[in-house]
Amino acid sequence: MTSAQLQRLEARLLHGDDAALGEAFALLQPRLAQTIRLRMDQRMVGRIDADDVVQESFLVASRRLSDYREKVECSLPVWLRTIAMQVLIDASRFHLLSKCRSQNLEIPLRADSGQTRIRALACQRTSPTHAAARRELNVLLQEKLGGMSDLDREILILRHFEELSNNEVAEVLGIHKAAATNRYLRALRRLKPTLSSYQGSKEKTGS
Amino acid sequence: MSSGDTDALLAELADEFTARLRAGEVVGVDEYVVKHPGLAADIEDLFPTIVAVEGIRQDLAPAGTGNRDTFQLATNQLGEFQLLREVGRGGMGIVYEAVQESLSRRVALKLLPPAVFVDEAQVRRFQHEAETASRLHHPNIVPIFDVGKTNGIYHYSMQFIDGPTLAESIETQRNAGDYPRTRSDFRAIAELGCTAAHALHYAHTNGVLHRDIKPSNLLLQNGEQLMMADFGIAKMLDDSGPTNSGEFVGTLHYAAPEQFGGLYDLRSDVYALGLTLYELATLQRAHNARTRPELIGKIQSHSTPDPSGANTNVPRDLATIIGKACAHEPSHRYESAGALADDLRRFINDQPIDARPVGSIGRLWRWCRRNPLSAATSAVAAIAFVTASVVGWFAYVSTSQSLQRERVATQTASKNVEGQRQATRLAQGNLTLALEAFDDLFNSLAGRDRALVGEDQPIAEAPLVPAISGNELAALQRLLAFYDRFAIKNVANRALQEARARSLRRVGDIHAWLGDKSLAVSAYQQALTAYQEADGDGSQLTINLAVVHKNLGRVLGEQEDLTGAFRHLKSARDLLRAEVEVVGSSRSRYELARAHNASNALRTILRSTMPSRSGRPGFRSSWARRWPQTESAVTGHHKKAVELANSLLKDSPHNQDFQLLLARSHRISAQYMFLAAQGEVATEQIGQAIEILDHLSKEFFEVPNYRLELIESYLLFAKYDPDLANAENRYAIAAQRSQELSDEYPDVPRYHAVTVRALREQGRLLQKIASNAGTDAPDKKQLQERARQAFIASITACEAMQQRFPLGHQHLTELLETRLAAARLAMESSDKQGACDLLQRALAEVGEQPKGMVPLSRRTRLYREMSKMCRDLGQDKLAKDSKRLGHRAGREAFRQGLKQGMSLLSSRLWQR
Repeated sequence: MTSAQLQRLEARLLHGDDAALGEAFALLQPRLAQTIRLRMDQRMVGRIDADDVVQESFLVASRRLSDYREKVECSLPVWLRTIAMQVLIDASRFHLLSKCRSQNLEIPLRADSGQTRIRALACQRTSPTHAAARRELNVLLQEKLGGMSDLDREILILRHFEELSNNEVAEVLGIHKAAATNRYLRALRRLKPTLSSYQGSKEKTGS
Repeated sequence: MSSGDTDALLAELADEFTARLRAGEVVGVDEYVVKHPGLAADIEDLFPTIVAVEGIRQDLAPAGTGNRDTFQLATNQLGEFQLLREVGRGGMGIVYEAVQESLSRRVALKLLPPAVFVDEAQVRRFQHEAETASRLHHPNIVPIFDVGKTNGIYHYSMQFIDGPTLAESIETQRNAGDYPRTRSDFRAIAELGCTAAHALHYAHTNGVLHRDIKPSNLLLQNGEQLMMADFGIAKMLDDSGPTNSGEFVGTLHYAAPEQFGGLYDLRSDVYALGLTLYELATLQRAHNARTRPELIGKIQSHSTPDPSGANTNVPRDLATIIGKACAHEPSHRYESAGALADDLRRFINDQPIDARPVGSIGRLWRWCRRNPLSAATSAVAAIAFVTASVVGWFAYVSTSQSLQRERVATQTASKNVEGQRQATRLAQGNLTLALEAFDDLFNSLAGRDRALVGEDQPIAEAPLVPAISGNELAALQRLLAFYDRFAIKNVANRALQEARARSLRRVGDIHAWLGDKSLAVSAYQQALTAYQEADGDGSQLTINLAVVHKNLGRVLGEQEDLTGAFRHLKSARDLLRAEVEVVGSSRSRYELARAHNASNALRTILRSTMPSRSGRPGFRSSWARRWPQTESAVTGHHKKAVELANSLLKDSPHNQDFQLLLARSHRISAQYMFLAAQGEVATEQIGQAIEILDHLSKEFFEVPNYRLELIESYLLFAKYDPDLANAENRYAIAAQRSQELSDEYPDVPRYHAVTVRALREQGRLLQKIASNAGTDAPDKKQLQERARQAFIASITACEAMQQRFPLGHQHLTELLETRLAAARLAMESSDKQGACDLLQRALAEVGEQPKGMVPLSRRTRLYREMSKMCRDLGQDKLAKDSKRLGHRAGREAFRQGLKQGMSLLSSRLWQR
């Protein structure tokens, strides 16, 4: 996926070619699904499928296409990400509210709440060989990330886990590009000691 | 180098590094250190961190499937079931072959993943659904035994079927390269499809939709008997999917396009079965894509490909059947699984099938309907295409004729004569087919709109001629040229007489639509003759003949030739009634009900052009006597129409057209009853109509015309509601909804027209409330002001509409009426100058009005009102002008009235 490709799609879309939306989705699907998985409330894991959310987002996006064309305020990937997040929040709200209606009417539904996400992230282990290392990492990550400012933490997640480019990160967070770059480098520096040790243990397990 | 520049470069390098990592390259940190020694420290510091973070990212990516079906059972015992082996695994759970120990019977046990249900309500729904499905008893449906929950795991058991699923047998055949080739191969496939369709039809008539038909849900017991599994349940389980509104998960490859809009009915099952047949015939999926979004995009915007493209051996007829079953639009599919089964049976027996291949124009049109956005931009292209088709048509026919002849001749060299004859027949068939394609185009243009606003609408209420946009007009004129030419060219050809009659009927329809009534009448009359001379399917011919009678009657009614109108409507009814008694097909019943409605609509016009009872004492004596008779006639027609609509709905309760028919029968009758001051009856009827329409417009929010119809009903109800506050409320709702409608569909003139009318009526009512309120009522001023606002809004909307659709002459009358109402209001609030201005504008507009657009009686009334108001204002010149125009119109009406035996009506109307 190159940004040039996305820019071409965006241009086509703005010039009235609806098919470009489908292509953009095909291109961004893994990225968006990853975003959804990361941002999903812990309680929703296993209930909703990230791919379904992406699929629903596509439908929502195609309905709102004219809005996008009329008042483009952000780049295509950022717009689609916003929609996906909205769909996720709606889905979560539906599920959690229908489940917890009696006890817990006030459910904090902040799809961007850093801590939940990181926990969820570290819990989603898929390969048992890494389980131990991951548990350790989970603790370290929480410690380290917890100590960071919200913005720094967010930048790392956006850059590396959601695979956004620097410009897109700046757009999402509403900060200047140069500021986004600085923050990113600073966050990387702060994360360094933690992850280097994880990396060491990973190499030892031989994968 | 400043620190800012360093950082920028560093970030750039980091980006590049990350991108290469993601691309799967093995990148060494050293490589960068060497290249950028100035940044060595930073690079060595940060890049390993990037590697680590990216490592985590990769671990995060899902490993193959989602986590829904990853649960495992620890033991092989679940309650009373002993699990023997796993036979299948899917997104919706795991299927085991098991033994139910209490009954020692072998079952297939499906375990559902623990996260499936969110709350109790869903559990209950699931159980309910499973119970409904377990009541299905059919030799080709896998029976469901029971539903239960053990150790927190929901499961249900069904008869164990020993044999492969169709998915498996397709797979085997594909691997062996064993593609269906011979006629008997395809006959076997059609047999399977026919059996499945019968089973499906049985389930549908018992109120159960399958919702997840696909090859892996169809099993072959002992390798031969087809069994359908998982009725209605699979979909239930999916309701715990991502949203409550989207309602879609399921097996994406077999999803019908409308499912993405949250719609699902029996035709969606038919679609899925059609795709299954496609797969059986071609051994590959009809829709394929790499990712889900891509697949969804494909299903939504592409029609199902022709199976003979994937396997050239697929017989034409079977391909056509599959194409019809999987048509993109539900209304183009078989209306039931039973109909699909019948057509497959015909194919097996080598009889001619019902389905028609979609011609190129039909395809184009369907594409346009699926892609309205692109279609709008290429409307010009589409029209150009139609033109080209019309011009090139006869050339095409002769070419294809000779081609066909050539082909047939080479094939049957020995039977040359036979070949020639066949070629001619084929060419004629092609011609009829082309006509069908054009009919398709016509119907899509007129489409539901026509069914809704046109045919049996009482004209006094509706816009006189439904407004059409420039594009529509151009397309219609092209069509007109085609039909006209077709009719002239084929005068002598007896075989094509029916096609010619149909063309003439279309010519009439189009003329009527464009407002050219006398041309419409002559076309209809020719169509009548042509139908009488045509031979072919007797029943269809009779119905078509009757429809022409009905349309002719309607147009004559609009021309105020009431005698002729009644005569033709009666012929239509008689023909159709005989047809209903003899054959009783749903089409004949439908058309008969519509003919009854049209008769009532005509009586409504008649009655509404009469002055009200209170107005003219002398008049009353002669006509009042006739009203009770008419009233009972209306009641009779209404009763019959309702009976017919109900019987149709009994057969197919979900048919929108029939529901609409019922609603319209009620509304038309209600309109008459309101006029006849039978308030109670009318209120009940309009209430019923509103109920049906409310349901329809909610259920099918995407069909704007249901909403339009509902608005019209509100307007009618409000007009006659004695409770003015209620009425005001209804007008307000109608005005608001119609504005929403016209905002949503700015290109459809009739939505603007209804907005104009709703606002005007609201203004009128407010004005009435204000004048009832007495001179010193505190809110009188306020009411008058609101009325003025409504009028202004209406006038603005109307003027805007005129700008947009310069063709909407007919709406001048509407505008005129609004201006008059506003002028009257201005007079009441003693704003003489304002009233004068409005009247002058109005009179100027009348002059521009083309002749024949407005029925004379209505025009006469308008002039009379105007001249009276001018006189009251002391505007003698204006009064004189309008009076003169009024006299002229009145004289015309008088002459026409004399001619048609309606002298009393017309002369009394004006001579006073």
